[in-house]
Amino acid sequence: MIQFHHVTKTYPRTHTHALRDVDFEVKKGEFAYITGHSGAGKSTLLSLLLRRILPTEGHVYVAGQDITRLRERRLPHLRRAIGMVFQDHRLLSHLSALENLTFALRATGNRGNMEQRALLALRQVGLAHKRKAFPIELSLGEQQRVAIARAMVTNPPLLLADEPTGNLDPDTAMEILELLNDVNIKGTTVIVATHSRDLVDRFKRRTLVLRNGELVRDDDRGGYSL
Amino acid sequence: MSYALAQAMRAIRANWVASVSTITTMTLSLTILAGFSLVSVNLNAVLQNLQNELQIAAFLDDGAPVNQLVDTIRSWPEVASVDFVSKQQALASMVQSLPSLRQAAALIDNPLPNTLEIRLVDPAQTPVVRTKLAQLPGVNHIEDGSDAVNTFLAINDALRVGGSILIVVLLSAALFAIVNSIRAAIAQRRTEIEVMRLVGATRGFIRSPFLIEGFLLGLISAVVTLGLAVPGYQFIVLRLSDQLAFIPFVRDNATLGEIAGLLAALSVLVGLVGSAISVSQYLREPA
Repeated sequence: MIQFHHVTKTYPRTHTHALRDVDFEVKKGEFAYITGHSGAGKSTLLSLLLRRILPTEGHVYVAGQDITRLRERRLPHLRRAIGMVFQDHRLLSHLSALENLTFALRATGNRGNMEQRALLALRQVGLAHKRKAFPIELSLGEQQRVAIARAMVTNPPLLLADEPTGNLDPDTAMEILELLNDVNIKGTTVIVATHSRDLVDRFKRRTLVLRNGELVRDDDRGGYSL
Repeated sequence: MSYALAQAMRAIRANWVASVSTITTMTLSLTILAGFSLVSVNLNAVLQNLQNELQIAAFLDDGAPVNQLVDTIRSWPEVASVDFVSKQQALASMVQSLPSLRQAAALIDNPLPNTLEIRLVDPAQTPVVRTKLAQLPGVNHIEDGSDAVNTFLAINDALRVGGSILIVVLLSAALFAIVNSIRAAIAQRRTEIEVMRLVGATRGFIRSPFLIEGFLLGLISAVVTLGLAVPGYQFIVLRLSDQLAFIPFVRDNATLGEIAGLLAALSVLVGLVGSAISVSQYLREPA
């Protein structure tokens, strides 16, 4: 599904090597953690997958396509194939939970049955009853579930989550992780960037460990140890 | 489209201070442009009038071959008409204008020469025709009103150059006002735009509300400007037409409509270009 082929990313202004010769592959339908301390390169890795930045060296492939060579007008098509969940959820505060989802559908050119599709996605994260609530009226855990529903409402084959449990208490964090696991069971490839030792140890899946931009470990049932 | 329009309206309302400021700047710029355009059009009309009245007078020697001269001059392509005024007609005309000269005129021989009054197709050809006339036998002296026309032409040229500079300055002011206003709208909707980009919205989808916003700001500015300029011009013409009777104030709807249409189109264009500049800066992707 995704492949990093000897990827190096340097930020010339700060002379920072965010990633050094990172080389790995995640197959379709896999669930993988990207772990490491702050500044290890997790967010850079996700930004490269979304093609928000370009690698200094190497190539990044998504669904067999070298996205480093992708033309600008093709970027929306790449991003429609990727659902993205952030630590701060990035829900639009002036829209209800349901409207946040229909907004994503409308932005990607979907027109028919938007409300039904959005409601179905909310139902899958257990929040159909809160469809009219605005983000401020939801708990942090509920906000993150709505964000996951928004990421999945367009049925992307790949879901990226950048510290999705960073602001949550341990129980709610586990709920979110179970939700991401459900998403994965239904066939979506899921990549979670996190530095939460608890989650990675309790919910053991393939773990890629980054340290100072280098991929130092790649375990199929890894746990957190750095 | 309705979504983009609704978003644009929402942005204008949400950033109403920036929107009002932009509309004010654009209206001021456009009103000055409208005033300049109307002055220019009227000056052109004065010039046209003056040029139409301009004729060349060729004073002839006694015994000059009048008929031959008239035929020659009439055959020139620059010439619209030639009228012969005999010395008797000239004196009679002078006495009619100045009756006090009647007795004096009776006492002396008629000192006035025979004259050919020549009107040109294009008054700009005056120097050419003047040179050709000077070479004709029997032509003693030539007079024309080109000095007055040249003065007006110089004023018109200066106005055109000054006006061009003014247009650039005013349109730049309007453009920067729009760019700032759209930037404020973009800043306010940063999260929304970020979400749109990440879920895979096309550039066109993200850009359209801002382009519509720029279009609407331009359109509103144009409407306000015309709302001020049209009655303002009518009022000025009404007040000045009696006092400045020599100015043929432009009143025809076609010319005034053309100016209004151009101003409106310019305003909308500035709105669109300004917002396109702002959005393209923000939506640039790494390449």
